[in-house]
Parts: sequence; C-alpha cells; structure tokens
Amino acid sequence: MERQSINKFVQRLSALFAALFLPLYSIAQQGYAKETEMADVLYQNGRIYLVVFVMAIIFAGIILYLVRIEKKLNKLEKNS
Amino acid sequence: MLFLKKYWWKILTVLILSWVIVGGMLIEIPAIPKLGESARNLFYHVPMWYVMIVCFLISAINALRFLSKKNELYDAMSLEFVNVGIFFGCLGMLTGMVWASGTWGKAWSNDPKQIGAGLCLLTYFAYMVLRNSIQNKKNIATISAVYNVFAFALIVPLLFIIPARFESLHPASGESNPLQALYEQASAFRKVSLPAMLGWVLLGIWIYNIRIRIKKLELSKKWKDNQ
Repeated sequence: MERQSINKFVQRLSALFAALFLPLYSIAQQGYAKETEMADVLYQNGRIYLVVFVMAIIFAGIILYLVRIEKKLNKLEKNS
Repeated sequence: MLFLKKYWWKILTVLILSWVIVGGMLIEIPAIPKLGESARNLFYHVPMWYVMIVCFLISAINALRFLSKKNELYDAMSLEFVNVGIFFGCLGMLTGMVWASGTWGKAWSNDPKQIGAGLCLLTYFAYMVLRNSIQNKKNIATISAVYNVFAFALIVPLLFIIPARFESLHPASGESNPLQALYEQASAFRKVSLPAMLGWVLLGIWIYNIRIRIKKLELSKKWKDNQ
C-alpha cells in the first residue's frame, strides 16, 4: 500500500515538473534558435566559415602586432 | 597623403592577404585526386618558399654590394634578409610536413624537393653559425658576404634544377622547366595563388623592414659611441 502511494506521488510530481518546465524548455529553445542565426550561417558548407573566421582573427592579430611595433619604432627613430 | 605615401605598400599587403585568406578558403576549386580540399594549401604553404627565395636573392645582392662598397649597412641588410628568409623557410618546411603527412602518408618521404629544401635551410643555418663563430669582428662582414653569395649559388640547383630531374611527389616533376607547375595550374587557382605570391612576399619584406630599422638604430648608436 505504502509503495503504491509513493509511486503515485512521484508520478504526480513528475507530471507537474513536466507541465511546468516543458513549455519553458520549448520557449527557451525558440529563443535560442532566434539568437543564434549567426551560428546557422557559420554552420553552412561543412562549417568552413568557422575556419575563415579563426584565420581572419589570427591575421588581424598579427597585423595589429606589426602596426604596434611600427609605432614604437617610429617613436625611437624620431628620438634618435 | 604623407601617410599613404609612406604606408601604401603595407596597406596593399593587408588587402591582398585578406583576399588570400578569405578567398582562398571560399572559392570553388577543381577536384584534384588525392589532394581534395587540401589543395588550398597552395595559397599558404607554397608562398612561404617564394618569400624565402626572394629574401635569399636580395640578401645575396646586398652581399655583393657590400663586397664592392664595403658599407656596413649593406652587410646588415644582407643579414636581416637571411633572418627573414630562414623564418619563412622553417614555416614552409613545417607546413609542408603537415600537408605531406595528410596526403602522402608520411611527414618526410625523402622527396627530392624535400631534401633540396632541407639542404637549403641547413646551408643558411651554417651562415648564421659562421657569422657567430668568427672572433675577429672586422672580418665577419666580408667572410659572411662571400659565403652568402656561394650559398645562393648553391640553392639554385638545390631547389630548381635537381628536383626537376627526378621523379617527385610534388606536381610537375621530371619537367625541365621549373615554372611548369605554375603553367599547369587550373585558372581557378590563379585567382588566389598569384595574389598570394605577391602578398606573402610583401609581408616578408614588411618584417624585414622592421628588423632593418632596428638594426639601423643600433648601428647609428654604435657610430655615435665610436666618435
């Protein structure tokens, strides 16, 4: 008898949780899908755009680094 | 305007290399057996060697200028071009080994071009060792300039003539014309591969430009101290 009532309680509890969270979950999913449209673009063509993005960042970093060194050198050349 | 006059070629470098990185990844390329999409390495691995060869060529020219004019600045230019050339040569070697292990099965398969490039790099490592092992500072510039000219004379057969005579895994091997691979290239590749050549060489010259300016500052300080 006791075990049956516990089972019923667990069933009701999980039904309640499902009723509460499943809609939230689906809403969250919708929001997620809306927010990550950019990611969808990145996933096209076997995700090659991800590689392009990474390489563009590395290249921009290297160029910025070179430009910074240039600026320091310009200063030194003016002083000497 | 003064800004553009001074920096136009550096801006050009950034523009060309941006196209090489984005376009090189995204253009449609013809299917090549075995290589597949890795054929895009043509835009990144091969230009490393062009940069190295251009650097070593200008370095040898400056070594000759030093031998005729005895100006210390020419020796500095020659040395810095070797530095940049070795840097890009090492990059070419590393990227080549990565590409080879993916397509030929092994990172090093004793291909004539691999051996030639390896010997070429060793020759220039020896140049640096030679420079740093001479005790008498007055002789360093002259001896290394003479070595430099011979080293460049050596890399011409090592990179162009010998590999062309043997069967090789590299494309267009066994052809007498070292530019044959370029002629056989599909035109789709050339949209990126030709700008890539120029762009990477310009980047190498940019790095050289920074190095030689540091060297000039050091030299002018040395000349001031000597006075």
